[in-house]
Amino acid sequence: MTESWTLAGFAREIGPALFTATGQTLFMVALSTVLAVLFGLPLGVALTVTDPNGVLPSPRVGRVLGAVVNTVRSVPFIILLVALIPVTRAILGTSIGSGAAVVGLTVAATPFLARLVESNLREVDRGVIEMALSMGATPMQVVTRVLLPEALPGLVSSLTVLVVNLIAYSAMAGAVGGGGLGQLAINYGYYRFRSDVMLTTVILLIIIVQLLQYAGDRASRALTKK
Amino acid sequence: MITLTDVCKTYRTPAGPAPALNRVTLNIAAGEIFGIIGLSGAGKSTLVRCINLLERPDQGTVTVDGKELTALSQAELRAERSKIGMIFQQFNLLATRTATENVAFPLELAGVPRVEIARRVGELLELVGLSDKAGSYPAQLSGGQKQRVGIARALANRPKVLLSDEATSALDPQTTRSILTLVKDISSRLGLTVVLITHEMDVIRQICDRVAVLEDGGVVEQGPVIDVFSRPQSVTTRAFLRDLLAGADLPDWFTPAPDGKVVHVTFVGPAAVEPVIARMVQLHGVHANIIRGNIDRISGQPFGVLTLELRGAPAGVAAAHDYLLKQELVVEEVRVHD
Repeated sequence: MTESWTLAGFAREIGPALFTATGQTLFMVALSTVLAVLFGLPLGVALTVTDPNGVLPSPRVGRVLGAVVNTVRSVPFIILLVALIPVTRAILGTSIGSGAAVVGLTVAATPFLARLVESNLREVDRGVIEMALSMGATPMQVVTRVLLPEALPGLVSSLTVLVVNLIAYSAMAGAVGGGGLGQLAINYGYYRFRSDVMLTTVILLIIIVQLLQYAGDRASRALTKK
Repeated sequence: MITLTDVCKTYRTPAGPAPALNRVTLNIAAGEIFGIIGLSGAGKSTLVRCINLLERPDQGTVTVDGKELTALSQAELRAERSKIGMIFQQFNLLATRTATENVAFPLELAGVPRVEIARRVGELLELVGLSDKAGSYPAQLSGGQKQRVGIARALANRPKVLLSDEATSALDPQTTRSILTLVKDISSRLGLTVVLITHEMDVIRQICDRVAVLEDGGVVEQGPVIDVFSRPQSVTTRAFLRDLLAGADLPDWFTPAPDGKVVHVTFVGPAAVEPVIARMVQLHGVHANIIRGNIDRISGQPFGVLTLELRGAPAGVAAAHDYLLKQELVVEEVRVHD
């Protein structure tokens, strides 16, 4: 750190790492979002319909699912990430890297999204569900044609919350060598006292989060027919 | 068309069992408009939901159009439900669908081909007079328009029965009138059997052929509307009738005379009340002061309530009161002196 700081010098030194880290963050967040929706949406639906007042009441199944969801959600993410190493190795053949981080992120995000979905679906007016049943709808039709479409604006908001949370969680992916902006910020900004790197990654993250939140809000509003 | 036999329903609540229906037996004929009236908590909503088994009775049987619904499997029940239309107080339209898409909903459930759906929805919106609002979302419609969409949707699968759960309770009197007219018109044109529940006697008066009065989960009175109105048996029915024609309370400008007696006189049909009052005045030498009066028509017959103050010598007032009681009238004394 004897030379004076220049933007060009900074870009030359950190640019490639920053580029890679951004790519890793986006990869981890995108893939775990897709997987969380794939698992979390049905889980949220199951939590809703198995409720004693749901369209397929099954208190026992509901309680078991609820307990599993609560258990996974109680484990601190960093512990979950480490605890999942054997699972990750069994699935991917390795326990380090961005792919490995995706396993942890997905496991954490799935029950989180399921609870968000559950609360979105619960907000659908009971009268509308009753209407559908009165017209001969099957429980499946109630889910696909009433609950999900009517809750769509809320579901989009929940998805936005999920993605923003995943960006924050992905910062911890460094613990399993997942890379990403979070790891860059810690390795350079924290361990090596490079405030410029820290500041840059934080600004990048802020921009990403702002853009996502803006897009999510716009989409949710466009879907609301009120 | 609809037969309920000994239907009982008790809700289990944390506070203990809450009986909602107690041995309700009803026979509703094809093509009639049958009203069920009761105060809130009387069990009306539960009763109407027992007809399409949205609520399953604990006991008793429900038969609609020759099929005993209480004996059917879930899948068979769903098939029968699609032939029973239902409209609701809060309309229960899907907020994310346009009027057209809302009306299409039951047809989609039934797996009707898309071309057929489009044709049928067009017909239905025209039937309820909403063709120009086809592309509007519920939030852009007035209450009356929403209920018209609800009616079109309920009729989509060509049901034989229409259940109406307080369908006009959220609407203003004028809109209520137009919705009731529409229901009556559709019922007679399509031969539709209508069961409607309400807490408003005026709704019963406007369109029902027969009425059942529900109190604490039991039917306390039922029959042709004109009969129930002219010879109300239960306290509940009388209270409903009074509210309908006169409002519950005496007008605030009215100061009862110390020697007077105030009575509500309800009369139906050609047995006109005026000669009766004239004769009463003549015979018993009392003054009859008309505090309030209202005449309406039910099933084509005149129907009215007069609130009279009888004044004069105590013996004369008592005799006049007796005289009224002996006529073809429903006479109720109103307590004004404590």
